[in-house]
Amino acid sequence: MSARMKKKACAIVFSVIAAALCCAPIVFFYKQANDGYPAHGVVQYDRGDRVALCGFDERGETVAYPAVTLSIEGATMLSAEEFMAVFPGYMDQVFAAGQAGDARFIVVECLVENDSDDDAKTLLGNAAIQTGSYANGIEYSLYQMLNGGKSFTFEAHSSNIVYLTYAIYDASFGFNETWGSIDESSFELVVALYPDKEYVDLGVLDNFSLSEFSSKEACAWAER
Amino acid sequence: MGRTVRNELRRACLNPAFAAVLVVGVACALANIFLVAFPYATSDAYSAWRNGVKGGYPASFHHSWMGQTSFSVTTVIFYWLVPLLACVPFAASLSEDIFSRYADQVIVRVGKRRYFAAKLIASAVSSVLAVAMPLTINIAIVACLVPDIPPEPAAGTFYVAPNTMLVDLFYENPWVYAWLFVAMASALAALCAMASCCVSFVVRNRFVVLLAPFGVCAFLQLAFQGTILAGFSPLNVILPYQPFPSIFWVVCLCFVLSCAAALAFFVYKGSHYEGI
Repeated sequence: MSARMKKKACAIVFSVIAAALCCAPIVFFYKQANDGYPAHGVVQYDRGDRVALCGFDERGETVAYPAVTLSIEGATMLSAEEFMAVFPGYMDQVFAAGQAGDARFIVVECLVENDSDDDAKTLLGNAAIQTGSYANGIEYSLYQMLNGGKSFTFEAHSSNIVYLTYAIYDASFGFNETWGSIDESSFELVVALYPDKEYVDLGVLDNFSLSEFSSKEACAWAER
Repeated sequence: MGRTVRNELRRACLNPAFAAVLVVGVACALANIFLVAFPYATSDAYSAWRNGVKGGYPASFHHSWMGQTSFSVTTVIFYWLVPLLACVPFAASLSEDIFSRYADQVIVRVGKRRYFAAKLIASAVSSVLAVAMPLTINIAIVACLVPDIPPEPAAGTFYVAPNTMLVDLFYENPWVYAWLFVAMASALAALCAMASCCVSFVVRNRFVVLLAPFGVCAFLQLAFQGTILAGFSPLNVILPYQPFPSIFWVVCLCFVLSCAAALAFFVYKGSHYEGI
């Protein structure tokens, strides 16, 4: 082996050692930073399933409520015109400000049953609707309107119908083509995110069923 | 060819300007860590968030590294400086070589093609290193501080909006997304260095040669501001948190066309170069 070749071989060996010395602490600390966190799993439920909800105690720690369950009774998507027709008194802030050209309103009808002996302060208010990489939280003004100011705390041994409400605007999708097929998109109701993501697969949302939904709710809203 | 490139690379990477640029870039990267990732990892103020209290989603690497911290002044400074960081180390050396007649001396020995190709390669490589190294250092250290928890659209703590390009990639393969944006920033740096080399043929003033790409980027940023084209401004395109929507294939097409135009101009001017 010539002196030049030897020099080259030495340079390569030293480079490899230097790279290993640089990478070793990164790998060590990366592992250490991640070891304290449980792996993020995904749990999928179907529409008919009863999903145990989570809540939080006085210290804010997340607690599981195995006896407090949610099941999906129905999920429907309404165009802006349909929604305004059912709830003429409702003025959407985003529309009013001219920040969106089109919108869809999603109403998920849930049955929440609390079979425990204590009131349950649930995290249902965090439930989000998701399709692909789009997600949105509950539209609280709509929620209040449809649920008569009901909170997310459920009394012991009670059974409640809750309407989770969401608004989606075309402006949220920019150049992406998702908005064009929003009516045919599959949706998920995400009820918990960490350590496991738990969601109910809603599939393609039902067409607006005016007879089942509007008559009852619109009357109640009008009375209020 | 190899020897000429090696020589130019040595000139590009072993000069005080390159060191100064690296110091500035790495300072931004480290300052960002001390202002964002370090508090996320250690401060009591973020302990509730770290522990996922009230169903919250814990702090994740994917919204803590420099490219994703839209609220941090270090991020804004670094990404605005990319065209300058790219050009300062070596992009103006062609202008100096031409007007000091050093270029003529080298061309007599190695030929025009080899000299100009080596110059272009060295400028591009030094600019890519000047931009990619601080980002890589930031990513490596932040990954050691903040857990690698995958981004979730429903968490509401990730800045990549559903109306931006490659949003699906961000949620499906966040590491690929992060490195792709490092590559895009590096590609813009290389393009800026190429542009500076092109300007060197027509302008004698070193200051203008250095500032021309930065000036063009700043002009496009201000001209597109408030319009539907805001997302296509070069300085916005390379931001991983994407403050404005854009379309990936349009961005790629614009980049390829710009590169082709710069390369064609450089080749034309280089082949017609006859000294001063």
